[in-house]
Amino acid sequence: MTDPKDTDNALIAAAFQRLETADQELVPSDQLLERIFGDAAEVIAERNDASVQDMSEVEAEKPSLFGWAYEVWAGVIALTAAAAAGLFVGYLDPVGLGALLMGTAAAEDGFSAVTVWLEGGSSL
Amino acid sequence: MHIAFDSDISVDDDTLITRFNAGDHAAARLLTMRHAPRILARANRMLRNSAEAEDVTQEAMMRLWKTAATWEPGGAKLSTWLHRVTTNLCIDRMRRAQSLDLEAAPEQIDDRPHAADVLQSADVSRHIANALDKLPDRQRMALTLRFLDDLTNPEIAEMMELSVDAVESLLARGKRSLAAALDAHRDALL
Repeated sequence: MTDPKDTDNALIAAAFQRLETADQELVPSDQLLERIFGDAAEVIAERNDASVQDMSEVEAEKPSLFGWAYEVWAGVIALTAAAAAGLFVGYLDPVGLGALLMGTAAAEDGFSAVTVWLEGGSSL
Repeated sequence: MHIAFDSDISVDDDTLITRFNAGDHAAARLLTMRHAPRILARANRMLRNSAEAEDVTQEAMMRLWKTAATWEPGGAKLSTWLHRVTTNLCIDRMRRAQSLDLEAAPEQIDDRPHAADVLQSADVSRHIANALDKLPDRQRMALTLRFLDDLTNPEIAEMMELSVDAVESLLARGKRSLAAALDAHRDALL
C-alpha cells in the first residue's frame, strides 16, 4: 500500500514542475527590461570612466624629462659640494687628509668628511 | 520590445560575462533575456507582488553586473547563483515587511493580476499558482526552496534563519495544505 505522504510529495513535485515549465514562458515587461539594460550600460560606463581615470593617474605619476635632469644636477651639485668641503677640511688638517678623501669618495657625503675631520682633530 | 528569448543559446554564460566585462552591451541583453524571466517568476512566486518582483529582478541583475568583474569562469553556475541571490532578496524584502511574522495573519493578496494568471493559460497551472499563493508566506517559501531549488532542510533552515525542526514543521504543514488544495487535479498532475 502506498504511503499517502509519498503520493502527496509526488503531487507537489509535479505541481512545482508544472509551475517551472509555465515560468519559462513568462516574459518581463519592456519597462523592466529597459531598467535592467540601463543598469548594465551604467556599470559599463562607470568601469570605462574608472579605467580612463586610472590611465590618467599613471600618466601623472610618470617622471618628466625635466624632473630627471633636475635630480641629476642636484645630485652632481651635492657631491661636488661634499667633495669641496672634504678637501677644504683636509687642507686645514693635513694629517687627516687621506681619511677625509677616502671618506668622501666612499660615502659621497660631506657629513662623513666632517665626522672624520672631527675625529682626526680630537686625536691631535 | 521584441528580443527573441535566449536568442543565442550557443554562447554560454561565462563567455557572455567575459564579453560584458569587455563592455559588450549585447552580452548584457542576452544574459538578461536568458535569466530575467526565471528570476521574475521566482520573485513573483515568493512575493506575490508584481511590482516588488520586478524590483527584485532588477536588483538581482544589478548584482550580476557588479559581480561580473570578479566572476570566475567555470566556477558556480550562473543560474544557481542568480536563484540564490533572488531568494535572498525576496527573504530580505519579506523580513523588512515583517511578512515572516504574518503566518497566522489574514492573507494579503496583491490585487493586481498575478503574472502567472495572465500568462499561464492552462487551468491546472493557474490553480497550482493560486493554491501556492494562498499558503502562508513561510510555508510557501519553504516549499519553494525545497521543490524548486532542491535545497535540503538544513539549507532551508540556514537561509530562513530557522531551526531544522521548524523547517520540517513548515514543510509538513505546507505540503498537507497544498496537497489538499490540489487534490482535484491529482489525476491531471500524476
